Amino acid sequence: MKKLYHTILPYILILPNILIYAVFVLLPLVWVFYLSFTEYSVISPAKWIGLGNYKAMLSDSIFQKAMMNTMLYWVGTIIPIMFIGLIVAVLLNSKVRGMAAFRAAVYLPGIISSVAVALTWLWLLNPTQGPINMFLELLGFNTLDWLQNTKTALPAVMVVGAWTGIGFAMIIYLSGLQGISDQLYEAASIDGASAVRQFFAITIPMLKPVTFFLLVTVTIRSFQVFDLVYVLTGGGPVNSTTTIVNEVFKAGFQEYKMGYASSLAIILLLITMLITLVNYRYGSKQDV
Amino acid sequence: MKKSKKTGLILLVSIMLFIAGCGQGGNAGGNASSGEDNKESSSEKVTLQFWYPGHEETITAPVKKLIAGFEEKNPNIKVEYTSIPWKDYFQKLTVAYGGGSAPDVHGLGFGQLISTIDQDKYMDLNPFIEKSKWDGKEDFFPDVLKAGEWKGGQYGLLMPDVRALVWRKDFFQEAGLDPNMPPQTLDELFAYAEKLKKVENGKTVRAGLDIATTNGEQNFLSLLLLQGADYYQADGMPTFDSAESIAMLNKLVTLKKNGVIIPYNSQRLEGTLFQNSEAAMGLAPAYSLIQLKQAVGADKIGFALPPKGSSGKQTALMLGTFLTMSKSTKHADAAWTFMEYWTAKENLFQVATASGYVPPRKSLKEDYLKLAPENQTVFELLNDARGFTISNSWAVNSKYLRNALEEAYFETKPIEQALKDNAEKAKEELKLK
Amino acid sequence: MKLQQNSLKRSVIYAVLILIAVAMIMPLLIMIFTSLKGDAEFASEVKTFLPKEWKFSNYILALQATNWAVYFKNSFIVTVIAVAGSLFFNTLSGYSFARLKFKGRDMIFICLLLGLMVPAQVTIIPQFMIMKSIPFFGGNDIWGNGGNGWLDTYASLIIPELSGAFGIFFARQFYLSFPKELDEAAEIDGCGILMRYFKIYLPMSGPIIASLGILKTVAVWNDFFHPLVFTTKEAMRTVQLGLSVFQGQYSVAYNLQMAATMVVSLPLIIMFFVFQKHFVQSLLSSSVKG
Repeated sequence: MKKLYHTILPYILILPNILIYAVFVLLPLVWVFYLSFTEYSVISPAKWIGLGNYKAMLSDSIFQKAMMNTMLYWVGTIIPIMFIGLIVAVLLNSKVRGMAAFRAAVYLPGIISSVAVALTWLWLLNPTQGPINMFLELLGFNTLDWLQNTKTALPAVMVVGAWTGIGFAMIIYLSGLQGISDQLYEAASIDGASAVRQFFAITIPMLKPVTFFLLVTVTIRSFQVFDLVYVLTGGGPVNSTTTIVNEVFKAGFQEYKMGYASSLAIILLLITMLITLVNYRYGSKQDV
Repeated sequence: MKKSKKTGLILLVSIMLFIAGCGQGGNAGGNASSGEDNKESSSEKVTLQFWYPGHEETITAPVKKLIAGFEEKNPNIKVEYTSIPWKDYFQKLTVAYGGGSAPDVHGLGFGQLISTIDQDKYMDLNPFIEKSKWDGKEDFFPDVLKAGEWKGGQYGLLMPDVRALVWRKDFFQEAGLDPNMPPQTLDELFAYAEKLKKVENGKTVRAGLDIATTNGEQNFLSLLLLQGADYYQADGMPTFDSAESIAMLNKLVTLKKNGVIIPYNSQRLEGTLFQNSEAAMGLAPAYSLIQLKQAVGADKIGFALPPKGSSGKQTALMLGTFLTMSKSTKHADAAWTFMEYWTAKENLFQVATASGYVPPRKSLKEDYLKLAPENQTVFELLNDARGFTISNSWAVNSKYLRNALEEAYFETKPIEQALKDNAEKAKEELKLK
Repeated sequence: MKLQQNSLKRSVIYAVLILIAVAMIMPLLIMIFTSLKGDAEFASEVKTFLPKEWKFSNYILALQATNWAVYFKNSFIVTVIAVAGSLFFNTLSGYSFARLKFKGRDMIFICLLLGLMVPAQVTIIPQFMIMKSIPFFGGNDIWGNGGNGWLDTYASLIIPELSGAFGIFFARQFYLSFPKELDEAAEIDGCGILMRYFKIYLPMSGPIIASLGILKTVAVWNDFFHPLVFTTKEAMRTVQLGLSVFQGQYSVAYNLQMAATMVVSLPLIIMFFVFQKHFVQSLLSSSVKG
């Protein structure tokens, strides 16, 4: 009896969560998977077309561009987000004065809704009146029309994306750091290990589960980027900033091709899953 | 372990809140359902769901007033009005249609109507028009009615927004031009634009002409119409690789290279360049100027027919919002009664003028001119105006035209090649090859 | 000598932190300054960093412009319940995934993550249909036909938020980093699975609950897409819908837009300051030390 209880109990504990999740997230996901094999205008019923959408993808040059941009955006944001997030968290953890203010300064950009963020940056990056160009002019550099230039638009969007994401990484790392017992550092100090050495020998390994979590979630967030692109550039100029989700949105809600949009979403899912699985292997090496 | 007590307390409160919330959520649903039951039991009383895009006070106030008048006149019909901002409207409406919860009567964007009209989801209004002998049939401007016609059916009544030439009188003066003499021809338009640009430290700070480079198909079409051209045909065949189109884009790209055009995205949140005093001239709907008039003064803004094209054409681009009935409505007669009320002479006048649109009835001319003398121009626009050609190829053709325009403006491809390549891709996607 | 070195180190830390903090906060300051500028400053061609004239009346205008009281009430109800409920469910599940052994555990966990990888733009339509056909609600029969289900109710905004792959994943990762000796000691004392959660894990979850609480609150409060699609009645609208309405109404009045944005974000900022002191209390180390 007791054994049965112990076998079943874990399932009972996760049940409420899993049930809601299955109904409102996984079931729609299965539906989307089905839709990816159909022609579906949303307002009329779906029509089965087999692999048609996936074949169309192969000759869709804008999709390929979007895929490329999404990858670049991922690499270009995850590195600063995790790196700066970690540095700030570690520095803040070293009991500095005014820590609350610093923490707030770093995190607050993540609180503001993306539309407001975008509006602010549109003004910052304004080619003629924007503070960024004015500053560059002051230093004698050439100014640029950041968002209306095929070479600088994507990097500009990345900067904004990183700016909103650093606070997230910092918070996660900060809470991770709380889980590391002070005794470890005390022992290391007694052994004469330098701060840098402690960082690499204790902090980094102990943060591994947290780092794994961040790798996965920041990757997912980067792959899902849409609002910022939509408001900052609309995907232009010449598709230089369009991303997969921007294309999903365009196909689904502007061209009434929800079947095609679903197939794009499925491809995105597969890529994200692949990266997550690779991470998972790394992350679970020391697990349980 | 003192902390554990505190955390436990927080948790307990959370759970209680959660349970209370579930109860409340359930109640809200329960109330809604019982309310609906009541309505259905008293069988004569009908509730119409009505969605309309635009959340500016200038639109919602007159619409609310109109509905109040309607309900007074028709005590057994209740209209539940939902206003939704334009930028969110098409998503909300699309999902509602997809989920089988379409509102009975609703507004519909121009592109939305023509790209979905072949799916048989909207009600053909002709039977209602005939049955009720709707006087708008004769009185509406023919071009306005035609915009909602498809295969002999009438699928929407357009509340038109017509793009006129707008200009800033103060900027004209600054450039040494007569502030009351707008350009009369396309050539003049471009020549004026050159003079009106303002350059500081080698950078254009004010455009001569407001032309969007990303999502720029509407501006481009406005100009094409003046040359008697369009960017696709009713059968879906793209025509944006025509000689007129290539010549027009050549001109625009030259303007951009000369710093007359400031590149931007027409869908950006901050509104158009002209609305931000960053352009001296533009082709814009009247309603978009309301706020600018307040900010800089109505006397600084000029409003006229678009300049003549080389063949003397002056066709204005007319888009706007269709008033449409869902085919799935259970209260078609009540819905038509509402649409008829909306388009009745005095009501149409009230709604249109308050929201800055043109009332599309010929018989309203006198009243409309009384409001302001310059309305003469606006009314004249309706005599020669047209929107997108009705074809479900609109979305595909617009997508590739946008693409071609961007490639040309940002010089990633030669102009002619950009237009031709994208026309080929559009044909391929539309299976017209 | 050691002291000097220490103070040098401190200064470097401060310098780096201040640099980063200024870079992060600058755009926000610009938002606030923008929200205080007069209309004329936007029409004029010269734009400045600080307002020429500080117009606090913008905030009054922004507050009066729309039905904020209703929107705030709705957002508060939805956010408080969704966050409280999800914190409980997610930490409990996270604990199960991190510390209990059961068949299919990793498989279920991976399945959970899948849900995070699909954009809402495509799942929204099936979600809408499911919401509409919840049996027995909103006039629906047992098959989910006839009525509107959970559409236009708080349930449509709260229930899906109660579960969350993100929260489970988060809690799991943190519980993984807890020393296992804790469990072993508890087991020897005769603590069962549930007791261990309530007696050991939960009391040490302060930092987790604080950070997850902040993240979840921000996510629910700032959600725009789901309320847009699931609710129609004015009485059910949330602050983000209100903000969108506001943006439509004052499309070129940046000052008012920014003022409205600040008003809508204010509860989040307050919440951040309230919660944030919790995720630095090192509960784990203090409890281990005894």
